[in-house]
Amino acid sequence: MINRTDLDVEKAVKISKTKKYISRVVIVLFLVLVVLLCFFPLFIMILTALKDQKETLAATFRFLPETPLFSNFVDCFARDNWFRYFFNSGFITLMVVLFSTFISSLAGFSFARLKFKGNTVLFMMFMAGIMIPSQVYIVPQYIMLRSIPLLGGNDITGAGGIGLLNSYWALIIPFTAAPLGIFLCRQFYLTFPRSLDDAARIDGCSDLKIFTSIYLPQSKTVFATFIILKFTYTWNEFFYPLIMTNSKEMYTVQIGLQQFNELGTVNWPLLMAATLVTMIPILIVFFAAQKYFVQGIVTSGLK
Amino acid sequence: MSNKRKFRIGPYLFILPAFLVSFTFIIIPLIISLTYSFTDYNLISKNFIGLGNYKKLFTDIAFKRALVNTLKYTFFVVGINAILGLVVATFLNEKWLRGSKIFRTIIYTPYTVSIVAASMIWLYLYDPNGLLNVIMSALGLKQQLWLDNPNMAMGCLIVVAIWQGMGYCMVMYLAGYQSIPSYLYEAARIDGASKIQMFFKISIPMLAPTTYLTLIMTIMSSFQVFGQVYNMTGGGPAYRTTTLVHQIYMQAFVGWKMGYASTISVVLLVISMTITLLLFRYGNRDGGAEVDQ
Repeated sequence: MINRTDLDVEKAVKISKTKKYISRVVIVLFLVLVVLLCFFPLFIMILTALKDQKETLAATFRFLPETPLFSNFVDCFARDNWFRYFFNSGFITLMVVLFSTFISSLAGFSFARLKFKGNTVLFMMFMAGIMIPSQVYIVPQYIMLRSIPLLGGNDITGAGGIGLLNSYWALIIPFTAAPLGIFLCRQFYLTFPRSLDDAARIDGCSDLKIFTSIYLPQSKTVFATFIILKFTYTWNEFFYPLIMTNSKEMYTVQIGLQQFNELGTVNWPLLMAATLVTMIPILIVFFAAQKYFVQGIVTSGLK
Repeated sequence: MSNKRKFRIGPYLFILPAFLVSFTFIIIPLIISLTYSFTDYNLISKNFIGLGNYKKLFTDIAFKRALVNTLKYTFFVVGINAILGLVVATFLNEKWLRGSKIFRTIIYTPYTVSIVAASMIWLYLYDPNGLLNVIMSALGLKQQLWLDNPNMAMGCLIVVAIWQGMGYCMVMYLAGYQSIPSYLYEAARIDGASKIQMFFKISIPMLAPTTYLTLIMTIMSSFQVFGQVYNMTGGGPAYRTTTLVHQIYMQAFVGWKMGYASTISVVLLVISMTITLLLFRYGNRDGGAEVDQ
């Protein structure tokens, strides 16, 4: 009798073990499938970027390039003014990141640490800015920038020319508004011990001095998080430069890539090479600082 | 002591730069947008036409299509991404799984790709002579026109959005799992609960705050869909893929009808605000309040 129950238990254990094993295999297979599907388009892009145009037009499809053609990367640069686009995107992104970090950390500090009338109300107002789709106010933004008096061929009433459209100003200044940065900095500064401020204040430090000598030097992690988010967002931005630029001198890489698609017949290898090139800065940042990248997305919940 | 009571300009000066930029480039344009929506402004003349633009919405086929398409797109993209993201995060959270970090990184990578780059990659895949049709015929299936097929084009765009956005939902849910105390699962295991029971009785309720935040964010961004449409289909075939933001663009920057475009903007604002506020309220009542975070 004892033997029989032992056997039963053994059997049950065996069955549950097999069940567990099968479920694990299913889970791993599912994850591998998801990973393959996510990676597949990128993989095809890389392979195509290395092909000869004849290969992509050939009747029979071949997965791998006959001989990897790295010259595509050089050729795509030669076919359009990519250096200019890269410079524009780089310059705009750098300026936006610098100014918005500066502006947001100042405001974040004030909201987190200074007592003043309307603190909460003003902060909520900034936060509402996150929830409003930017396309809602892009039409008046365009008209405002277009009709700034005495600039870009405009007369004193702001008519006649293009104002600040198609200039670095138009592509940088509006983007320095960063409710997200204010939010991140405020949350971060709230975790600082208040006694630090009090001690400094007793020593006769002004608010500005407290900010620059205590808070700023400790802001590395929150800055890293915010800068990476802002960098990606600005580099990848498409709608805004599409509207605000109208000459090749001012195109960003995203507009360059979009225009590249429209130059004559589609040369897939060159287009894929160009696509890959525009992605490189973001990929470098992503793989170098994945921790901050993910942290930023999670703490802000922002896309 | 008396110092504290005095009105101090300092704190406001810290906020001033941020306020100036936001005020000039968000608040003022937002108000102007509302006023434009009652005019026929076209960059040359501007006349007050009352509710004319709003009446026009009801007869505008492109707008109706755009509204339906945007809602359809949002529904499928948000739903599928949230569910897939949750499932993938749940599996990646299994303790016995090796290499979850590599899985996570690869699944997340498409999210870092710009919308233009993603559009170019998928244009190549969807090309009538492209890879997807090669695979279709290799599998013995009928080749498709994909983006040129009116019944398929929207689905094709949704696939691109799922490819790009799923990693975001996964990361959000992975972070959400970090905040669930492990003793809950241990207690459930001692009581003999199965994995599936634990998922539905512990994980899903505990992840409610994550779900609301993720839903709000993905809904907001889905309502703003434009890049794929502009780069892959141009809103066609026959308005089947046009969206609200695409219509704003077409009316304002192709047709130069700034007044009418502003009206569509106001509709976009009202819809996205309504959905967000509903989610906030619903989230706070049913989920957020119960779960102590």
